[in-house]
Amino acid sequence: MNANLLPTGSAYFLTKETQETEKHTLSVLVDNEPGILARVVGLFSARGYNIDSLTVSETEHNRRLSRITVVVVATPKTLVQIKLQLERLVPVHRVHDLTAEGIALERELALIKVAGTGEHRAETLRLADAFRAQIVDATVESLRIRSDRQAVQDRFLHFPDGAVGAGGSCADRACSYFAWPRGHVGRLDAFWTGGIARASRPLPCSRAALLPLELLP
Amino acid sequence: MTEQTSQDNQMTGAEMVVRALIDQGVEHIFGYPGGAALPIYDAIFQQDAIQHILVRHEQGATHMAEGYARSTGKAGVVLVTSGPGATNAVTGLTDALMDSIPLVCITAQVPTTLIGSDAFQECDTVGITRSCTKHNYLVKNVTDLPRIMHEAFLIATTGRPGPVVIDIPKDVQFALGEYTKPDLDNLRHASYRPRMDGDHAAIEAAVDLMLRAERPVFYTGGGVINSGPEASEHLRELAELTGFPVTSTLMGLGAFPASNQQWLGMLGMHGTYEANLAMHDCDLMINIGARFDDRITGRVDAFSPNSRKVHVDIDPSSISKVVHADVPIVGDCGRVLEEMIRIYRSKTNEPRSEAIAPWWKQIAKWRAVNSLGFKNSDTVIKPQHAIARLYQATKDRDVYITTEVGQHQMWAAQHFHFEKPNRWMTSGGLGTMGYGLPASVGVQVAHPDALVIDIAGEASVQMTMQELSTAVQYRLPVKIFILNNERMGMVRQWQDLLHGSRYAHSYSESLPDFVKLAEAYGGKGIRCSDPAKLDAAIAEMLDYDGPVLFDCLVEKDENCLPMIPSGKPHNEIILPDTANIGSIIDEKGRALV
Repeated sequence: MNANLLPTGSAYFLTKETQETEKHTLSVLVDNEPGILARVVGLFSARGYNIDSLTVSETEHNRRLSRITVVVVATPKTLVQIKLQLERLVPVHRVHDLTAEGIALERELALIKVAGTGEHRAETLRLADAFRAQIVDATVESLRIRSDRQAVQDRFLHFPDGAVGAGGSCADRACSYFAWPRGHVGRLDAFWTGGIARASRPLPCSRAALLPLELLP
Repeated sequence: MTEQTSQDNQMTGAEMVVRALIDQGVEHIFGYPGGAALPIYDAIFQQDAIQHILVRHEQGATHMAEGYARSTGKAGVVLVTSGPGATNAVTGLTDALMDSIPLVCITAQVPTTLIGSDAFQECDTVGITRSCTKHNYLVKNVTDLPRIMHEAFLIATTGRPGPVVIDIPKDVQFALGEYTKPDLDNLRHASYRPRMDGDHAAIEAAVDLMLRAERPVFYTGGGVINSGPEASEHLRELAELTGFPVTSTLMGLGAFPASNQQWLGMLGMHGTYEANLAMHDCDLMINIGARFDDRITGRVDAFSPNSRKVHVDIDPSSISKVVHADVPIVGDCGRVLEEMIRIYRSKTNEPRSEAIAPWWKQIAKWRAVNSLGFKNSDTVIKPQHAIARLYQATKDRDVYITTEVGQHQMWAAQHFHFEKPNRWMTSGGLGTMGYGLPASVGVQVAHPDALVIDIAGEASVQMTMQELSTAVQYRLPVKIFILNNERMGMVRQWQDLLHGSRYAHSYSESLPDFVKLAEAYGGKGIRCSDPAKLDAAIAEMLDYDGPVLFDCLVEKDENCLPMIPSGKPHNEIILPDTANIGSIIDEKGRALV
């Protein structure tokens, strides 16, 4: 039989994974009730799926609905399972794979604390101006800059050594300081020297564009 | 609403719990009191519409409720206290989730003011049970309680059934509020809407495949049982209409009558040769309410390589989870079967006997292998023989069978035969040793006049043995038929198969004297070790009006065969005449479970 020719696999001889992984953004509309976030992230950990980033907030106050925007990296087959498993959760109204539906607008926010005085401070201000980043807070020894993530990765990472420095706690504070209206929680990702906080979620306008009201339950 | 009725509807949270249970038609609940549950217990004391069965351990309560639910189609209801009461219920909740059994489990909780303070008998019940329930609730306000009570029953019993936990803090049980009974027939949930009717075009595509198939097989599962007795009727009708062979998973036994000529027996790891080979060689597999579990598929990449697969399931996430479905149909098994029959009839009224005659000829050859055969003995009772005799002695009676988990469970599935659904209660998905005894108690509560037998092993039965006391208290004449081989037989078999017969902790030492134990509990004990006296001993057990522990001493080292070892395809099944099973599996296979 053909079985003899195939290599033995993992625990249950599941077929060796041949599909490539893809990064998808899922938009999950849920009842805003206690424990709903735990249900969703618990499902991911229980079934071995990976969360790349997660944002959750109440989006329709009157109907007590929240939207969880979750970025996952998985194979196409697993992505289908993730969507179906999420839909099994009782408080989940609807799951949209924004990447598959192809009409999503997405922005990520970067908040950077740059420590330094004198020449470093002047250079920071010049760069911020050049790349249209905003100075959102300042102390005698540091500046806080708001930009989008791509600009940070492309430009600000070229700062001379020592010009940027901040601890994780600063990233936390910066993020909470910059929480979106009505308490959006962004994932914190100190992806360079612990100094950069990142909050991600689709812009509010994308929701209206993506989900015509009649689609909502 | 008039002032009078408004007054009538004012009650405490504890009274609401009882009122909602009554409104749901609940007659029995299984539970164990404790500090945080006292207000609900007080409300139970002051009514007699619902009978409370006092268990000896909360795990027992959950399995009783499972047996009750599985044998009636209604939700089983459990009531336990906070902390250890809730944690002890976790095994049964997980079992019910895996086997899709409708349970409503009410757990008491410390007062809301103490939640999070590590109070006495506090635990994070909703946190702990989140992953082992279909849904769970923490009721923080008494005004939410009536809605949640009724919603819980809706969620537990509809769609793919499962356990629902309602965690009720003690102050909410005391709080006064207004009880309103919703319109139960039209109760709908904002986000939970199971799909019941299958897609018409998909069903039509499935029927088209059925009309062209040359080697078809129906592969049915627990979903047919969960869909209700009508689904089993429809399955029988469709099988007759088409003339196709039928096999079933462990959970689906009884949906199709074992006496029918088209029945191939159970499939899977310990299924019959003909069922597994038919699955492997078919050109059309019609899966109705089964989920391609690993005990069924064996090695997935060699599973039924040349067939088209139709998959009917009420849970969309089951479809193409393990095996790709060529024709996926999301819907209730009963309704989809009914629609299949209607469409099939609209195309032809003839069974396809001629077209599939060569297929049946092939199946007859596989049947001739007699894969369930065993060498009987005059000197020692063979476990298969014991079950065969038990079946002969009880087949004309109204009999319900429960089992524990292990070799005896598989032998019972192979050698006890079922004609009707809801007669077979076993722990399939989770494989919970200790399920059978309490499950039999639950079944007997639901069917007081029926014959209820737990086919058990001496190791499993000791895990929940204390529930014999419950059976005695409520005069429930369950029969516990222990196949005692002084081994954890399935573990021992795997050690023979995979670990050079090094029997690490797979034997039962210091076993209790089961006869004396039965008497100590207030039941009857019977022991039998002589094949010649077996029938008489079984008759004695059946004649006794009360709980019986039957200690049937059987062959110690019998293997449960046929067997498809983990990681092997269906056509590499080990048959009963295999002398040395220790030489079959290579190094790589040893890592499997």
